[in-house]
Amino acid sequence: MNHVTDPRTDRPLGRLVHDWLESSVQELPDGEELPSAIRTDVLSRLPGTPQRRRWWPFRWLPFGYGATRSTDREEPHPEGRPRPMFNAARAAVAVTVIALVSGLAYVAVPTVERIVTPASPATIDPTDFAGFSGKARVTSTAIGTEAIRHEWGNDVRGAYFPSLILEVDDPRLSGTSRSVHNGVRFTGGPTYGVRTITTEFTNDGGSWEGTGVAYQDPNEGIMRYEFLLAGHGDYEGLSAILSLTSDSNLLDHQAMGVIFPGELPPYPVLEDVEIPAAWTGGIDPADYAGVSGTMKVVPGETGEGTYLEWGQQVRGNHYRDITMEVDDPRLSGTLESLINFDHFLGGPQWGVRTTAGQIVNDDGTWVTTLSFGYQNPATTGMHYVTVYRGTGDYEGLSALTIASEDSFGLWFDIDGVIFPGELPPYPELPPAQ
Amino acid sequence: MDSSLVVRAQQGDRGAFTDLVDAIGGRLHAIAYSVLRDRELARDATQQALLSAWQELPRLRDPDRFEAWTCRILVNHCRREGRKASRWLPAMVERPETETAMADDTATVIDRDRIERAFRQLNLDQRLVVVLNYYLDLPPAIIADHLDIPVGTVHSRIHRALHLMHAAIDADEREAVAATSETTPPAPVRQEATR
Repeated sequence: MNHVTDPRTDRPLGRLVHDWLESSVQELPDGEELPSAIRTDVLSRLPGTPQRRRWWPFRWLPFGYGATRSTDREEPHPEGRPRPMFNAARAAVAVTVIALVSGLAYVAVPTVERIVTPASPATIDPTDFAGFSGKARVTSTAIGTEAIRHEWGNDVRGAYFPSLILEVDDPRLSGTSRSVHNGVRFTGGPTYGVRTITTEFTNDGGSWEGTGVAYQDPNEGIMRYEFLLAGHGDYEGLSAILSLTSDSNLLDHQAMGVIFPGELPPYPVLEDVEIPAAWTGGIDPADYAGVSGTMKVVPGETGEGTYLEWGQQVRGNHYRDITMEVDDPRLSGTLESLINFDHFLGGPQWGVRTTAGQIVNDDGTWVTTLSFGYQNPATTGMHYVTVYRGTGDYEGLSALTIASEDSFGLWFDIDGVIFPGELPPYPELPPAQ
Repeated sequence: MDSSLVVRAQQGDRGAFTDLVDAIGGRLHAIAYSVLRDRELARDATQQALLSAWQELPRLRDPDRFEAWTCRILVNHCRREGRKASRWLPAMVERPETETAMADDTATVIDRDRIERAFRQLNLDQRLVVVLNYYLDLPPAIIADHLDIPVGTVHSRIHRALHLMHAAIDADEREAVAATSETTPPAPVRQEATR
């Protein structure tokens, strides 16, 4: 199937597609040129279309405690011109600006999922915060798996993977993991539907324990995982968020994430929004569908900001008009979001956050049951995982999405699945052999 | 692309932006039409993309990435136009009859129609990688940069898109064969030439 050809000419399909695309463009009235009507319309509208300036006046923000990004270092000032000084008023303005402009407007409500978080350390060292990237490879097959067959698919319980090798550019997290997976497979869908995972990564310095959620993309066939981990041993007092995306072989994975001091900010609570009860009714496997699209963030009301020795805490940014557009209309709509975030020194938006919210459209509402994210200093983009439960026409459905800020800072890419029922319960990790 | 033009346009220079429109507008429109397969949707997506590019330009961090950045904006507007109008999905838009199509190369027309029908089975993400790879001849690494996705994802999307197109063409051919066998009348008994 890799060498698709036209049976009469044996020409590769790719060449046929090339010729077809090229000729269809050439048959347009203007061929490969921009139609003059479009050009005229766009240029005539420029005077009435104001340009949007940067959200962030990076250069004067008071992040000078020692961690300064190389690109934001101040140039020598001209003689006779006073150098900007840090003062309380500037800090207050900075926190306001941070609260106003930073932050992904995204969704969530206090978690109802079981995610391990570490105890809060007595002190926070902002230099512990670091992004990482690298690779992971599954080096063992699952053992001990039990499958419960249903008309709609399979419940898979206790699939134990004794070995996954994680190699990332932060040695604190590199190591070997063992994990146990509970999964749900829907009839007619890809091999795996959605999963919950309990895992432990170990290396010479200590270990990281935690839980994760995952799904198999029905369109791409690849797996996406998101883990929240708590450090032990040398890593006591640290947490980590680990994101894995598999190749099509499902064995090799791209890895990225952050290690951060302390734990996630407390989950905000969106007033008057009730989390729907867990679904216990019937399952229609045809409801399982991949979604992809974009999210456009419009900043809203600023929450309460506190400027601390290690960075900033902001609680309760409230964004009401985020546009969620995905290729499945069920999950498209207007997103309202309440956001708590902690930003560590080193960059205005580098840190971790929790959110609470809902997507509303004409047919129902999706309320978040879990949502957390981070901004990776290595890639600068924000990254979120969110789990929703549906109400209205979407009652009995859940959704799991991953949002990644594009490197241009314009939109968030959304990938995920809508699935019937609930995530499986989190499995118990058996004792190490 | 002249990055000084981009910088001037970022500062509000409409003349510089006009030059940028002239430099990249045709390509953006060709991508939009190739992906959406609909002239009106392609026009709207291109218009909106160019206006968005003007609006957002001051926030572009790296002027050297202007072309990839505008492609990225166009992709989002293609998504939007595609969702607004369902007609870009499975429906078949009639291709304008040209002299080429009316000529005696019937087999080519059939090929093209089959390819078009197969292409329409793809989702927008798959169409994009096919267009960028097979129409613009961009290598996967550049496509990954344009779409802001990993290179591995580009490879898997291209592979899956061709797989789906091949399956669709096969199914199309089987249907055509079945339809022909149902509708073709029995061959007439040959008359003896000497009679």
